Amino acid sequence: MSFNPNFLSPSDEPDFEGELPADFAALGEQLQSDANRLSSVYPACQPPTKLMEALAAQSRPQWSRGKVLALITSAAAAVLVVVGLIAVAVSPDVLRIARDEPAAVPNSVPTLPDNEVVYLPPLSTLPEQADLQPVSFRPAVMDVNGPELEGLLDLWQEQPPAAGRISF
Amino acid sequence: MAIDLQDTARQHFERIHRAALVLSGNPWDADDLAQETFLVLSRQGASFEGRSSLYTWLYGILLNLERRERRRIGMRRKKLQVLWDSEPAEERSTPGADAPAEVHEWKNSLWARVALLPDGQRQSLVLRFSEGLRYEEIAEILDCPLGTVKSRIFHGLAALRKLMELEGEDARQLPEFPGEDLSHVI
Repeated sequence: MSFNPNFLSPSDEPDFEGELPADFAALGEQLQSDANRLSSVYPACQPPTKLMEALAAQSRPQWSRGKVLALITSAAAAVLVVVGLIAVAVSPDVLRIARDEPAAVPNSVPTLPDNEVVYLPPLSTLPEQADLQPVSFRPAVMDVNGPELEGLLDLWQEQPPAAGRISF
Repeated sequence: MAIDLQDTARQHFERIHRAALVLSGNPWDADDLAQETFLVLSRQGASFEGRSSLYTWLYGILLNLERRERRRIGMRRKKLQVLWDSEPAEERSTPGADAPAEVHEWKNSLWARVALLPDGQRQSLVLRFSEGLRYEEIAEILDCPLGTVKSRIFHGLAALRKLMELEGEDARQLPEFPGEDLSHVI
């Protein structure tokens, strides 16, 4: 049997406000009556309550476990970011010096007048930092005459690199 | 929003089962659909936000499951039809196992005719006349405007009347349920 349920044209749009035409209302009552009879002949089975409880219990921990995992992951990422920021903030001077000011190494020992600032070659390098770029130090040798300065430089050159620390 | 599953099943299982029975046409599929609806509730109850009534939400789940089942059956029938058509006529055997399992009482009811209507009309008629829901609730379940629901119900009833005229029946002379078997006219 060929039947096209969309046979009505758009001009047949309903203009009822909750009240159906009489013949349609009779059809509706018949549908209602048929539904009631069907449900009385074939009553509902038992709801699967045990399975429902089991599924609900199964889905709850899965949900919370996933959430806890996401929280732990994001917390770990945040800690790593904070540690990285702190590490950068703690050593800004070293980085800035290395970047901005190349080492000024005198070729020879100059004879300087008094009150002149002298730049000494880097004396740094701890064993583990030996392969790093040299860092310039700017000890200001003040009020030192020529022979004293020469003596100081000799003393400095005799120091092993690992223990290269001179304080004035 | 926490849902008391036991309480919800006690309150709403029967009505969901009745809608499933009217939609599917047999109690076995109705049992499966109703139970599956409540299993979905168990698994996804946390996603219920309480913006609508719980039973309208359950009807929405049921209609989705039923639509999916109809689509699956439709695909299977199409495949079988292709196989059937490709067989030489003299070697064909009747695919009895593919016959829809619809009970006698349902076939004799108007709901068997409703099953021939498009999804929107069919679902609107079930929710309105089997479940007695208001137009606003139907619009909420089907996620469409109120006017669309009224239109679908109007057109569904008109199509139903037309269908009965085609069958040579008069709506006012429907067989007393579960009386004479008129399945031969379908």
